[in-house]
Amino acid sequence: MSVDDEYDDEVTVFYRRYVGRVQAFLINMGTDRGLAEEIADDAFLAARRYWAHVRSLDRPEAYIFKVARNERSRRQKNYASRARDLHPAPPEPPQSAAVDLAHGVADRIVQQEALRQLPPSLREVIALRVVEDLAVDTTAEIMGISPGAVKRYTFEGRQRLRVLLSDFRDTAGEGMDR
Amino acid sequence: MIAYDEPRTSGLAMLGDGGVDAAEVERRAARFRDALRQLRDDPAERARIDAIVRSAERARHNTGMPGEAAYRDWRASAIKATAPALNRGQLALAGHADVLAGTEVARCYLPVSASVAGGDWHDIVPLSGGRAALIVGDAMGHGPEAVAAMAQLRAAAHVLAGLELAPEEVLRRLDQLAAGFAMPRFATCIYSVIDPAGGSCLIAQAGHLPPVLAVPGGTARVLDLPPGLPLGIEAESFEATRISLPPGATLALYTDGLVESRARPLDDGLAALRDALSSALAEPGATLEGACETVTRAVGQHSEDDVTLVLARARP
Repeated sequence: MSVDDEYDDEVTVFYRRYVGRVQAFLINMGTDRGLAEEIADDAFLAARRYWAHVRSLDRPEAYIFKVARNERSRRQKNYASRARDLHPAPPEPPQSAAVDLAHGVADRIVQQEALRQLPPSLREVIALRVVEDLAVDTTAEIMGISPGAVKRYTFEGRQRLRVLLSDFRDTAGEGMDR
Repeated sequence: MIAYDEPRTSGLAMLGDGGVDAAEVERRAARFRDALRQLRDDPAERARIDAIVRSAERARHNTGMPGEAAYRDWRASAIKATAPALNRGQLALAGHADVLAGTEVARCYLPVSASVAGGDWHDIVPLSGGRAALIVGDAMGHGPEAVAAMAQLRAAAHVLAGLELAPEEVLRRLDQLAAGFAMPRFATCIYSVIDPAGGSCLIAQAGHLPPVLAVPGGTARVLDLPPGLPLGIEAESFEATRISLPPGATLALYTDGLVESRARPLDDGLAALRDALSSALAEPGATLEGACETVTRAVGQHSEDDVTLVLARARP
């Protein structure tokens, strides 16, 4: 088995483990699903190009998130105007779904909406640090900021989220009970 | 007290999978396999992915985040504050010129500026039989990383010299050390052993600029010795050459900052060094130390890099 084959296998193992998380990060940052899939795949291909180097890093996943993050802002610029025309806003959640499912879906939508109302830098820290549960140092490396800044942003982001979520729940709760 | 690192309690974890369940992962992994094959076979696809990598590399140092700007400012001011101490260390830690019985040594070091520490180093190590090792090296770049690499190489070279290993062996071990640095960083080095009793000098180089030899009554010339490759690339390319060092002859070791700059090509710098050295040593009543300072200021004063010059000659 050649080194190329071995590296392909290693990257694929990595892909299985992280592709959902990289994609989730992109979606939570406001990228629509189709583009998020493309960018996530490209980020893993980029890692494969330099896998001899990337595999030796302390946090290879940070490299992949970093490439994905950069591609997002690069492609979003070209894509944003086009996307508004091609992909209309997602449909409202079904009102008649079973109660458990409705709660799950509603929570998800409420959380997504709360995340989207954060300013971009706070949203990004929360998407990496809280949603993906990445370490402070990993988040700092991906965003190119200091660990101290990650901690400050996380703290501020959580506080604002708490306020946003309780606002949403209050409103949603009233609607559901009556 | 605020707990910054509170555990994952927010319940936001449900947003963390990107809607990719196990079956979806399998489907996507199969598609990714195809993409890997295409990456291998298709030059256009490789070019497309390489452009993505380059863009990410460029962006890495300039994300425009407020936190990063503050961090950069803090780092810059910290570097600025420690530079003078590091620059003083460059001279203070570099052996003692006056401990040598048979060899007279003078040295000069000019930092890039008061606020920037560079990667130059030099050292003087007394050996048995009245011989002495003279070492000049240069870890590429400026700032804390260059200084850290330099400090490790200088300490290692000092100890290896004391073991009286052959010059090419000293360089070989420094090469291995540099190759193992966590942050890849090249360095050049010239290692010489002066033997005043034998009237000779043994010199090995690792990608360093060649020494200059000034013989009384003659012009100074650049020695043509096997150059070797820089430390850190494990090329095993080092070779020691013995040269004659007659009484009164002065050997000059230096770093590229002395002779090379954007404004002046290397050949012009070397010519300036040879002229300045010949005339400074020919001054009536010139001391070695005085000559060293005169040459450093005359040749290296407009350098953008740090400058090191070490002069050595057998005591009469």
